[in-house]
Amino acid sequence: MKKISTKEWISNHGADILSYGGLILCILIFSITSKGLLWSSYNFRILIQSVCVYAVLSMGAIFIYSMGYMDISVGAQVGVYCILMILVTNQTGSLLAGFAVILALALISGLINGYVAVMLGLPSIVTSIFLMSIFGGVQVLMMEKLAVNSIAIQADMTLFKSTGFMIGVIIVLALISIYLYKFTQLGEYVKSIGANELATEFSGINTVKWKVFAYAFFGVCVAVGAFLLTARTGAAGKGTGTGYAMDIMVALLLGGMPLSGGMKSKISSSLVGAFTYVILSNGLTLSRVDVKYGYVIKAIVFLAVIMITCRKKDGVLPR
Amino acid sequence: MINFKKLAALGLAAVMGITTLVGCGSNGSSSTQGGNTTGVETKHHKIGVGLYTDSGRAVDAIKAYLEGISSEVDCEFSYVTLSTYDEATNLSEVQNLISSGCEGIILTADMGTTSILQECTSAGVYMAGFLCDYNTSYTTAYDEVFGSEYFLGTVCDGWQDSSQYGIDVANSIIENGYKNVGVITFPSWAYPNQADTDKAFRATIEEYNKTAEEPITLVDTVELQFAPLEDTYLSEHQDIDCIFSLAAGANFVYPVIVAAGRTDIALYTTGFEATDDVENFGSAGNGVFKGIMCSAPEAIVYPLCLLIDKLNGTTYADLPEKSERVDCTPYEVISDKDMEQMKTKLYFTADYKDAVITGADIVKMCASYNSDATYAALVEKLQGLGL
Amino acid sequence: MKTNKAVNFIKRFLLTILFPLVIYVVMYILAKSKGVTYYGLTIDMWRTVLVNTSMTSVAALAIWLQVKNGRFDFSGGATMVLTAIIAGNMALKLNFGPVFYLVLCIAIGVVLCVITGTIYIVGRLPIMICTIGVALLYESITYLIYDAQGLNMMSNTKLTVFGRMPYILIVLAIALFVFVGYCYFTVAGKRSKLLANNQQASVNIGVKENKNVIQTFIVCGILLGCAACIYGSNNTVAPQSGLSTANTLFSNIIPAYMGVFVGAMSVDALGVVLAALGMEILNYGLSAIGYGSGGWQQIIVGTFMLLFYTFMAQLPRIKAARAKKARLAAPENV
Repeated sequence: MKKISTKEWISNHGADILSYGGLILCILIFSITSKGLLWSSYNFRILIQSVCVYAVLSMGAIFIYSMGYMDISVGAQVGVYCILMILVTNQTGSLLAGFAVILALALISGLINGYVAVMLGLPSIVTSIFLMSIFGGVQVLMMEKLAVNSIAIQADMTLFKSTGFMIGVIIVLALISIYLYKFTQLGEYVKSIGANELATEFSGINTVKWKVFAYAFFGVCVAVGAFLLTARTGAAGKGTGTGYAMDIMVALLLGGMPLSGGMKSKISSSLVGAFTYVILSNGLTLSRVDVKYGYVIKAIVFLAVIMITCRKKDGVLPR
Repeated sequence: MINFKKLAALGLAAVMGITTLVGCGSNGSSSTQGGNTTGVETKHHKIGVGLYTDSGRAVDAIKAYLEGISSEVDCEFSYVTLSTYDEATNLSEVQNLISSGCEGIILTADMGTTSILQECTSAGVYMAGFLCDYNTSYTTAYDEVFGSEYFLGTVCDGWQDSSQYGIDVANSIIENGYKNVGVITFPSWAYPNQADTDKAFRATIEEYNKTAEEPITLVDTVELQFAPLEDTYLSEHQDIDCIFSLAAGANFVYPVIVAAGRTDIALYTTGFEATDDVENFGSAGNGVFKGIMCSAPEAIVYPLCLLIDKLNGTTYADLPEKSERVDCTPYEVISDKDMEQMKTKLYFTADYKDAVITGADIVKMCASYNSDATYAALVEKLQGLGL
Repeated sequence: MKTNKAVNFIKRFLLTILFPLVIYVVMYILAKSKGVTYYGLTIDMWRTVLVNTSMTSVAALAIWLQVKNGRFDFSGGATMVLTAIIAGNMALKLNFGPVFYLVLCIAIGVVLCVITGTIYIVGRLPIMICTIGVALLYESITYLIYDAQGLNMMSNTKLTVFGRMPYILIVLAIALFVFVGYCYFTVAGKRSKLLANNQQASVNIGVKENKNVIQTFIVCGILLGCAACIYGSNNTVAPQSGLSTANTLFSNIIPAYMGVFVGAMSVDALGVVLAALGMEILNYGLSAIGYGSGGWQQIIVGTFMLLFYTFMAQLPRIKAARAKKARLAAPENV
């Protein structure tokens, strides 16, 4: 009896174990190939620093991807927010004012993002392309008007870039996300929207409202992510944030998140994914792998993880 | 039910793949400690190099050079790819280098430098620049960067003030008889030195126009926002017969010329890809390219010598107190003869045996291995790098 | 009856070309008011616009084929770039002519797409996830082949004729022919439509899904091969990483989605081409009036698309409102 239940447990949680497996495998291999450098305290600190922004952004993104939605405007948004926060902070001398402005903007963009996709009846990826284009344009224009390559923040960010603060932010946001995801209607509904939007709507749930909520929470995470990114480098420019949208997507998949959303979505994907993604880059450099072979390894690891975590067992081909 | 056999196989394949490739990576960068042929006892160092791109002839040449000198200077090199626009990427890459045990770091992009330098300072790792004038840092964060003990200085991509190239191109244009010339630069706030070059170029042409029977018409300068020249440029300026592009002409201007079928236009530019710009230079191919300027990979000896000395705890007697940005003489290719010469250079061949400064030379140029070595001689060496 | 048909045809034709025409006229007025002389019927302008339109259309058709069949393919850009690099370098090494280069592009495009399709079928992965993985793989291969030098052949005037007017139109015609032929005139095309509409039901009535997926991927390979042929002819192709090829794809995605609206009165494929034409006229016009690059261009294009879709999304509502009005008015007439 006990044996069967173990077996059942494994089959139910197989994907979870294996997405952790991807991370564990990376850690194991790189521990050997980096000759132990992976475990140095310095490396631990920089891993946390690198992971932080990815983890924060992908925890917010989970709510969007759970609905089977997509957002590729996040990179351009982060870029604009970083510059804006620096400008406001330098102008007013208050970091809080800077953060408040970008938080408000991020919430508004969240509303637009959520509402527009619903109103236009378009795939969310298309509406996010519009936003990406507009935000990208604003970012370039701002830097053109400022006429500098990179603008530095004139506030003391020492506290905010400390490892302790970053770990704190990850933990607090993770707790909030888990709470929202597991114990509130928001989590329940985003998953059911992802599983079957029409059915959710027919069961009397105001899907538009919950979509907007999901995007709003994502907005908060984007604002926090932009804050941490600025804290880390103390500067921003016309290319800040480039590539984050894709990086987050890849990180979530490495964490075992099905992009199509639905009931299998889970918060741990964001953390596991962010760590796997960062450790891959870090471990490859520590192991002195040539850059071009690094790309191949990343692709193979990615394929291996998705083959394990996203494979559909039977029936029609998954879309 | 999950097929664990398949999974195990997949996992094994991944492990094997990675370990094999890791093997590949480290084979290329062997280092024999103290095994140099100069007879001088050297100390082994690990240097990280952040390059602005991950492919192309310049990268191949730099890597070939560093691999070539590695045993003689007793240094092993690790490479990462930097971003020319994202600070966080660069910081992460530098952190990865430090974590992998690099004691010194050479970077080719001035993006996120302040935070990178803070990281280097707290980790006790020295940093120096290469192929980059660190202008943003120079103008906005001079004390934090150039005043830092951990920033050792940088060697520019050619001259800091490349007005001379402007003058040389102007003279070549006059000599070749082009009459309608357009000038293209990157935004002056990003590359102020390009505006200076443009000014010197215009001054030379205007001087010529004073006495010329048939003066040269100069079109207003267009600033490219780090994107290709617009398709409408050539429609707007139908009569143009020559373009002087200080903004990466091979990538941003040449394709537009070809697409518009205007390969009768002569193109003077900066940067060297060793692809279209060789095949179509002067009298070769469609002959669009008439002038090219780029820097020798060997210029990396400047940051390298400074790093080696710093790591060995010795300094040149004549080392300036504050870090500097120094010139290196660039390759100025404005004739077929120049191009023939260029083809024998390390930049083009990506072969260490064509290097003009060898590993043994570098050892002699370091204060820690040669007490007679001077900073002035090091800077002097960079002046001899042109054609 | 006959006149009705003719009127109907003219009406449909005008509605179909309405989109690019309106943009052309608006940009014409703007350009002329700014004193731009070369906007209008100049060879310069139309050469640029048509070359860009052909490139965008062919790529958009490849994307649209997949989207229409219910599959969002992230690997299109990577397939195109890798195809261009392999085919271009082979053509250069073997001294091929342009026709062979085109054939080679199509052949390699098909092979790569079949590989993608096979990974999809064998791996049984959700299509987006699968194609992201494949895109990463193909991108990484661009560093491993030909010494990571990419492809440089745009100076080769002989080999790149298919990247220029008028031959580029042949490539566009091939792509259109293949697309329309497959979607509207083959059983396989009809079956993929069935699958797109109700996957489970179609499988239940006996459609062999795996076979159909491969067939669609083969057609997609032909289209991407055509796109690669143009791309390689007009660009220096560098190795790519970090899903940057997805952005190459996204830049062509808007005409794909617009095509349904623009071509509502005719065939979707024609709609895609005309949407691409409209967007390229817009881009050229913006460039002529000095907003062609940098921040403003992105903002204008983004806002324009947003407004376009907002307007289009209102159409069904207006129709519904009209119908309602008609229904309400009807009893009074009786």
